[in-house]
Amino acid sequence: MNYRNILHSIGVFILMTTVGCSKEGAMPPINETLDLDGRIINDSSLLYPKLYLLSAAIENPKPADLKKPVIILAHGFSATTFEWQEFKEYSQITKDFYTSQVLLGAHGRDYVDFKNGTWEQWQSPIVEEFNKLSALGYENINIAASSTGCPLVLDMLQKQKIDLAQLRKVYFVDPVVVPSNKTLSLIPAIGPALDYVETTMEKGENGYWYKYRPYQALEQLNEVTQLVRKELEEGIVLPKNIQLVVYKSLKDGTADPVSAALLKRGIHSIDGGNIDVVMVNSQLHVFTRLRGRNEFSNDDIKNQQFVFNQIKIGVL
Amino acid sequence: MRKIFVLLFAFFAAIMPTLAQDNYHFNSGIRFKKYAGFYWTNGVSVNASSSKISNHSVQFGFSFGSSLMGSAMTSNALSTYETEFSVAKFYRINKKVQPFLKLNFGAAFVSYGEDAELFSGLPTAMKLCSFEPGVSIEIPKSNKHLMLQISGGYNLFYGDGYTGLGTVYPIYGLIGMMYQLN
Repeated sequence: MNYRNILHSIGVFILMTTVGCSKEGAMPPINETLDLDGRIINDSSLLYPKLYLLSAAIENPKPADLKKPVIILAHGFSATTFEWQEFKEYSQITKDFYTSQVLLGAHGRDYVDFKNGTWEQWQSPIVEEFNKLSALGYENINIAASSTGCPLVLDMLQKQKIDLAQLRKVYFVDPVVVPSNKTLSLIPAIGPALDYVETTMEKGENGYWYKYRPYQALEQLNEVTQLVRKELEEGIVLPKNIQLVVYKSLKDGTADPVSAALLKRGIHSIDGGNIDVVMVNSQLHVFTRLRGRNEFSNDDIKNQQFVFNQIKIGVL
Repeated sequence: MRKIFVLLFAFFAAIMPTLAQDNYHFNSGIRFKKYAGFYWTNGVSVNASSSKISNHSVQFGFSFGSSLMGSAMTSNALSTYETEFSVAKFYRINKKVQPFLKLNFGAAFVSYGEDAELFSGLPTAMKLCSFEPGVSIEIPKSNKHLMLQISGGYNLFYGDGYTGLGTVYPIYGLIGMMYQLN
């Protein structure tokens, strides 16, 4: 057997192994009664939008409503409105400001919707809610985003997909620009052989996060993070009226903390000022969400309350 | 980290007398390295071989690369640095196309510049160890002095941002142009 035959044999073996291992088109073993990935459990905001979206809750706001600060809340990849539920409840203690919990496109439904969604579709409901609130006349609109919600919002700002003159403050919690798991960058090559990735969730998280992450969705995540990283390298200039504050967990298994350094270097206000970055001594990803976790410490509670208070003080 | 560098330096110092004979070859050149999904870290490489060590089929090298000569040259990218020692085994040594297998050992560093204090809780250095197969192609009419090297590597260690640098990715591609000095 000469070299050419050996190489050919190796090629055929790799091809057969890849095709044989591929679960392309196969559905994961979804538990319909437990998993968000199934058709029974959906995010509650789809059934009761008035409980989540301010534009649906108050269709005809009064002048006093329009003067109150509003914070649009955007969650992360594979999550739901649940990620910001504790902050919504916090806002209801003093009722000094409104919240509007947005469900990202292709999220909170089922596996097939998640698989078929693009990152532009994930982003779309944030833009829509902002535009609705702006059209209704709200004077003090702010955004708080977590995890993948952050690059989605940043892309909105960079491409001016909303009227930036209407936006006041933007808060990022554990933004993903660089993922902690670097194998995400290999998804375009190895994704088709994987078809989906199963994630381990804590008991209290079942039904609020997708358990199975199709490679197509991971490709979209890879695409939007790469895009935003390049936008940051080129430089993003914010108008003077927008103030951006980043809170980043020091040890984060999902969003590499270096993401905060890229944001700090890549974003400037039009008068040359930098954004504010606060590094938080936490090991949690989206450390402002504690509900659903098996364990968290008193320090975790302090971190959460610190950020909630800072956001509240910032918008009032 | 310092111990590794001392050991590697001692190793190279030990083999230099062997290389510094009449029958050695020295090569130097430039390299363009791109992480799959991240920065360009370009730089320089030098390597040497001897007829006494597998008849020039084993090369010992050193390379230095930085994003300052790549992605960070004209952008807001972070300043990253990589220094690596390498041992490479070349095949078909007297042919125009020479496959090779290279092992690299070294370290990567990152500088947060004026934000160093803010990011003092993040790592600034990590070990590198990679396996890099490739091919060296003689440039026609260069009288065996100019070689184009194309390779792809896999980093055994890559960073997650707290146990290692977030700027080191697993897969990279590398193109180098090496000139034989003697």
